[in-house]
Amino acid sequence: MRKIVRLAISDYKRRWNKPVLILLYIFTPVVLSLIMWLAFGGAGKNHDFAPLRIAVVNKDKDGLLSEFMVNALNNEKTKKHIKTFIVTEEKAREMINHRKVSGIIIFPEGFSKDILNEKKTEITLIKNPTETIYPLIAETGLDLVKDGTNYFLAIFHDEIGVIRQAVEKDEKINSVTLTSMYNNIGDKITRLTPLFTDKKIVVEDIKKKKKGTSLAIYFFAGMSFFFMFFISNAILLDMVKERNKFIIKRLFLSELKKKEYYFARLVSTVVFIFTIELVLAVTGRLLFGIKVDSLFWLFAALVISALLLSLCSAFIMGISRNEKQAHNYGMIFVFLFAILGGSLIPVSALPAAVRGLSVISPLYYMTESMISLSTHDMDRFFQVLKIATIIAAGLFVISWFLNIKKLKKIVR
Amino acid sequence: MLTVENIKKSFGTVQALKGISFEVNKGEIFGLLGPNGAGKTTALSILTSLIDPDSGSVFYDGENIFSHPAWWRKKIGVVPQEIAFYEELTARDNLLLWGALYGLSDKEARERAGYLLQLMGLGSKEKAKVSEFSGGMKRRLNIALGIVHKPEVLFLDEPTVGIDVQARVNIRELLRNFIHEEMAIIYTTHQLEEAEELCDRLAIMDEGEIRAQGTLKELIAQLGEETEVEFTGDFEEETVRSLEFGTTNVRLSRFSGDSILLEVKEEEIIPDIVELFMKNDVTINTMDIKRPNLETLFLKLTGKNLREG
Ligand SMILES: Nc1ncnc2c1ncn2[C@@H]1O[C@H](COP(=O)(O)OP(=O)(O)O)[C@@H](O)[C@H]1O
Ligand SMILES: [Mg+2]
Repeated sequence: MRKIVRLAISDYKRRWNKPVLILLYIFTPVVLSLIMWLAFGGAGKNHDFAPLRIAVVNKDKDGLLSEFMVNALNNEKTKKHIKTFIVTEEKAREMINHRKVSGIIIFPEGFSKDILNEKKTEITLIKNPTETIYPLIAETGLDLVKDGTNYFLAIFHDEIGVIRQAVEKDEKINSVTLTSMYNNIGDKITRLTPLFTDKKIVVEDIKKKKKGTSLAIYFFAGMSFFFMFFISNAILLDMVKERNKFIIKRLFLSELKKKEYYFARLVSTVVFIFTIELVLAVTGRLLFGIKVDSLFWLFAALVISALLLSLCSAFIMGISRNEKQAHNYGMIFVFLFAILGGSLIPVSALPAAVRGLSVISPLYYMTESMISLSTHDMDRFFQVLKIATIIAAGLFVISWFLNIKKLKKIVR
Repeated sequence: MLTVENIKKSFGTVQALKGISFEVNKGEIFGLLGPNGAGKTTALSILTSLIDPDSGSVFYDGENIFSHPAWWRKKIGVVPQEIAFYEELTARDNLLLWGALYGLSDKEARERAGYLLQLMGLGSKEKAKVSEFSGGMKRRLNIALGIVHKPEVLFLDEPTVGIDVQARVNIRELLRNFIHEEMAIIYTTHQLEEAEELCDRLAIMDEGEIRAQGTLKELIAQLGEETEVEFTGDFEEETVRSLEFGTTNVRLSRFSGDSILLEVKEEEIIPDIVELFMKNDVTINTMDIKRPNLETLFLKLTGKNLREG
């Protein structure tokens, strides 16, 4: 035990020999995910990206408010960001299935009436379950709609009385009134104070009740694990390099056993990866505002991902005959797992045939664990954590066998 | 006592060792002298249990080392031809690491590391990473790591390769004056002066074979050549030729007015010769002893010249 600890500590110390390289390892995923995050909308600022395509189903026939909002969504200014298709629910579902739209917004029957009577009502957002990113934007879009409605109610607080009367008398408000109200928005907005905070509309994902996934966690976790995988490969490549050096013979000339050597190597790698992960987690919190409820489960997930990454690398080293091979296999696995696992391209954007393969990428489970943890979806979190642990256990056994066999060839 | 019996080893078609045998006594510095490719490293790898021989056996105090590798590894220290430690760590950290791996307690390891750093002249560079060391310092640390656990037998494989003359002399002195006190040493080299100065006994190796072995004196005696002594001075031929050297061990081989050359069988009689000259009022200005040396022997045995340059 003392030997393992000693060797692992020396190993860990050696890792810090090139601090600049480590900083690079940390900064690269941060910078890359920052760029992608901004490219895909950042913190709701204006950016040029392809307009969001949404199907709108208005079941609130002749409802004033829904009509107003549908118009607002179709407005010249919003067209740049949101392209709407006003269709029936049936058609909308067809469109989402064919990935023509990223989401469906449904205004329920009696929507306008309920709002005017200050009764709670809800707009439904249906997300395309195979898409990861665009529904996020759809949610953001819907948030805009929601906020817009709230603003509308705030701005036209005075006029609401008139509207309500008109509705009660079942009169139609003439379009001139509506247009003048609409044109007044600019004036009124300057006078706007956040009086109206009471939310009238509940945004709800019909699949699961959860808060919207932030884009930041998606990109940041994916990129980070992708780079961590690079690092763990680079560290354990050292073990392959060492096979041809006398230093390993010198280790085994002492009382150190082969399994102790391998175990110490693994431990120091896991601890090192975990250290970098902690730095990245703090960075994620500070830079992207990623929050989790349970620090305990965050640590647990980070430990398991550090273990899983190290074991993936150990497996690669175990199947490699020499340094060059280890390097090549490392590259292949890093990119394969990163692409399948959604670190580089969102899983939803993968061709359907490949998408199913994401389950073989350990990076997929790591990223998913972080997303589910930060979106408070604990069911999903425990599910992926369990799978990650099982994969880690399997890899531990296989790579143990492979690496010890390689070591036995070096010294009799 | 280490007994090596008829060790053979081939790598594919290359016969690296064609059956070598020798013995190393306790407290001895035994040298394996041979050019590159002679099989020195292969021999040491087998003796240190790192690779198996094709045939032959090695006994230490009557025990077969191949049947008890774990026991044997505790008894030996190995200083390889290449630098073998972690350059990203300090010298002390390296020593503490191997100390722990050899089962020393923390206290023992710290004491031993401190002692060895001082002995090896690395004390002032204690906190520096080894990557900043000079070649000579790295070589000294390489040796220190081989003896951190106080082995009974130390194997050194060309431990001074690639460093300057001063650093080499320094290492030889360390080995001869300090390290040797604790352990027997088996030392390989392709440098004549190292073998001459350091080793009590030598084996001359070439192409996987031991061509000759013994003390330096024994080896030179094998050469069958005699020591030549050249005197300069003012000599009268009559006087010199009339001198009775007393034994058949001295022969006058050349005479000229100011120099004479004598061939002697045993160097021990040279003082007697000098005394004889003085008794007979023969004036000597200089005396030069030309011994047959390892170089001539090596050349004769292997047809190779080991001197560098
Ligand atoms: N692992 C090996 N595989 C093949 N040939 C080897 C191996 N090790 C040594 N040899 C060969 O054995 C011979 C002796 O090598 P070595 O013991 O390294 O000599 P030295 O140490 O005296 O320079 C050389 O011809 C060398 O090429
Ligand atoms: Mg050699």
